[in-house]
Amino acid sequence: MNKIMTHVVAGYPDKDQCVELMRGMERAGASMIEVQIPFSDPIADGETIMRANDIALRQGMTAEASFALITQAALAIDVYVMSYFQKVQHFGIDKFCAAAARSGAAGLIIPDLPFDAPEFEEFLECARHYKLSVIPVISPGTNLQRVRKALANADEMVYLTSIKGITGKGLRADKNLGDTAKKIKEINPNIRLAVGFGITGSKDLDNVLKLADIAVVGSAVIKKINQSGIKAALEFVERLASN
Amino acid sequence: MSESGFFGANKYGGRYVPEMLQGELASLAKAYDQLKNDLAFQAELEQLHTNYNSRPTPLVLAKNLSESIGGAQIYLKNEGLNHTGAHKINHCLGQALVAKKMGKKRLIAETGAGQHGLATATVAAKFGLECTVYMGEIDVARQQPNVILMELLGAKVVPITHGSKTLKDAVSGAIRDWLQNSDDTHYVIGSCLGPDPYPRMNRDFQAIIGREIRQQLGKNPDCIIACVGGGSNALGAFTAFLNQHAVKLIGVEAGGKSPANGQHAARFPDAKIGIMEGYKSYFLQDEDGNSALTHSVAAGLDYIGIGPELAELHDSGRVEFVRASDKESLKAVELLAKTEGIIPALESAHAVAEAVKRAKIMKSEDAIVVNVSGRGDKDIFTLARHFSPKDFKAFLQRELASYDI
Repeated sequence: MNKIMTHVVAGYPDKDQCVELMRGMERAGASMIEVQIPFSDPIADGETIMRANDIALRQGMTAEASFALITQAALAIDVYVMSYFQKVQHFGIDKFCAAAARSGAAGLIIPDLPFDAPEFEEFLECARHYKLSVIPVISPGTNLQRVRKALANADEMVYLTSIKGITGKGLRADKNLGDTAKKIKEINPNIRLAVGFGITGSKDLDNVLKLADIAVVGSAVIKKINQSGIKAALEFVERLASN
Repeated sequence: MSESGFFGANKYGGRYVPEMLQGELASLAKAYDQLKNDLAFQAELEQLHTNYNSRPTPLVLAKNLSESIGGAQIYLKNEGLNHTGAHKINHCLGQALVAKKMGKKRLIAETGAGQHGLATATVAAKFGLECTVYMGEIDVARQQPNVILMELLGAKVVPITHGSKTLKDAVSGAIRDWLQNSDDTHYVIGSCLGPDPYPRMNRDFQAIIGREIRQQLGKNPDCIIACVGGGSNALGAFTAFLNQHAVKLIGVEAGGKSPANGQHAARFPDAKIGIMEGYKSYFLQDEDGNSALTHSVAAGLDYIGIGPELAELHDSGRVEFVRASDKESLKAVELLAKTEGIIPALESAHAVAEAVKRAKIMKSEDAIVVNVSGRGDKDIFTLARHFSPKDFKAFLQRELASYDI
C-alpha cells in the first residue's frame, strides 16, 4: 500500500459530493486527507485549485461550514485542515483551532504563515492547546537555517512542496528536492515527510515515495473530477493507493 | 526578517507568503538594502530620471482654478508629464535597475487596467530585459489598446483564463511564474504593497515626488492631497513631509457610485485588518474574510487593500482619509481641463475634487499641493462614454466599418 494524502476543497464540487468524496477517498485507501478551507485569494495555488475555491465560495461555503463538512464525513483516517492565514485570523486564531479540533481534525497546514510572522507564536500555542499538530510547509529552495527553524515547530509531519512539477523531467532531475528531503531526515529522522509535487500518475508517485513517507495528490484528483466525475476520481485514487 | 518590514504597533506589512517565496524576498531585500546606500546606483537612477524620464516634473500654480474657487492657492504637481504618463514609471525604473544589478534577465508583472504593465514593458525595453505581463482575460478584452502597446514594446502579454479573469488572477499568474523562474526573473510589483521589501522599496523610489515639491515650492505647503489606491503616488508625495506636522496630508479614496457594499473602493471606515497578497493591512472583506467586490470609475483605485505604511499612517492620524465619488471625479476632470488646460487621470481627479472642496474653507495665503499622479489620455474611452457617448459611438462605428479584415 502506498501512503498517500489526498486533497479536497471544502464544498467542492458541492457540499454533498464533497462529503461523498472524502468518504470515498478513505475507502479507496488514502492514508490521510487535506481539507482546504475555500478562500478568494489563494496565492500559492494553481489554476485548478483556485477554480475549485471559487466554485465552493460561489455556493456560499464558509470556514464554519467547512468544519461542519469534516464533522459530517466522520472519517477514521486523519484529516488535516489547510487554510490561508487570512481565513484563520478572520475567524479568530483560538476559535479556528477550537473548531478544527471539534470537527475531529488532526492538524493544521497554514502555508502563508511563516514561523517568523508576529502571529506565529499565538497560533502555535492555540494549536497545541487543542492538541492539533502543526505541519510546516517548506520548499526545496528553502535555506538550511529556515528548514531547521521550521522543523523545530513541527509536531509529527512536514510538508515539502513546490510548483516546479516533476512531470516530464523525472524526479531525479530536481536535485534540490532530493537534497532537501535528505536534509529534513538528517535534522529529524522521526518526522514524517509528505511531498507534493504535482503528482499526476503512478510513475510520479513511485518517484516521490523513494524520498518521502507520504505522497500528496492534489490537483490531479480535482482535474479527474472535472473531466470524468467523482467516481472516476475515486478510482484514480484507488489505483494510486494500491499500486 | 528585519523589523523594517513592519509598520507601526499593529505590525502592518510583513512577509506572509509560503516558504517557497521567502528566499527570493530575502535576496531582494538584501540587494535593495545595499543598493539604496550605493551612491553610484542613486546617480544612475537620477540620470535615468532626467535623461530618459522627464524629472523634475513641474509644480504649477493653478491660478485660474484657485481664483475661480476663492480660497487657498492650489498647486499641481504634474506627474502626468512623466514618461508613460504617470508616476508609476518612478518605481518601475527603480526596480528595473535593481533587477539589472541582481543579474536578472527578465521582468514580470501583473496588470489590471494595463498601466502598470505598460510602465514595466517600457522599462524592460529600455534595459534590454525580457518582459512578460499577466493580465486577466476580461481585462485583456477591456483594455485592448494597452495590450497592443505592451506588445509593441516587446512584452509578452499572457491572458489568465480562470477565476474572475481579472487582477487577482493575474497576480497569481505572476507569482507562479516568479516561483518557477526566480533565478533570472524579477517580479515588478506596481504599488507600495505586497510582501516586504516591496512597500518600502517602492516608497523610496516614489519619494522623489515630495522632495521635488519641497524644492519647487521653496517652503512647506499647508496641505498635500493625493488619491489612494494601493498608495504609491500618495506616499511619493507625503514621505518628505511625514515629520513636518504642520503639513496636512490627505488621502482621497474611491467613493464610487455610493457608500453601499460593492459600489466603492474606499477602505475607510469599512475595511477590516487582514492578511492578503502577502501583507497585513486594511482590506475590504466579506463576512467570512474573503476579498469583497469593489468599484471605481478609476481602474487604478479599484482595489480591496491599501499599502501597509498608509494603514499605519491612518491609525496614527498622520494622514486623513476622505473620499470622492465617480461623479465628483468626472466633474473634476472637466474643471481642471477647462481652467488649467490639464486633463488629469481619473484617479488623480479624485484628489482634484477634494482640493476644490478644501480650498474654499482655507485662507488665500494657504498653499495646497495636489499630486496629479497621471494624465487623462488613457481614460479616453471612459471620458468619451461619459461626456460625448453619441459622437464617440458614431466614431467607433466608422472606425469599425473601415476595417475590411
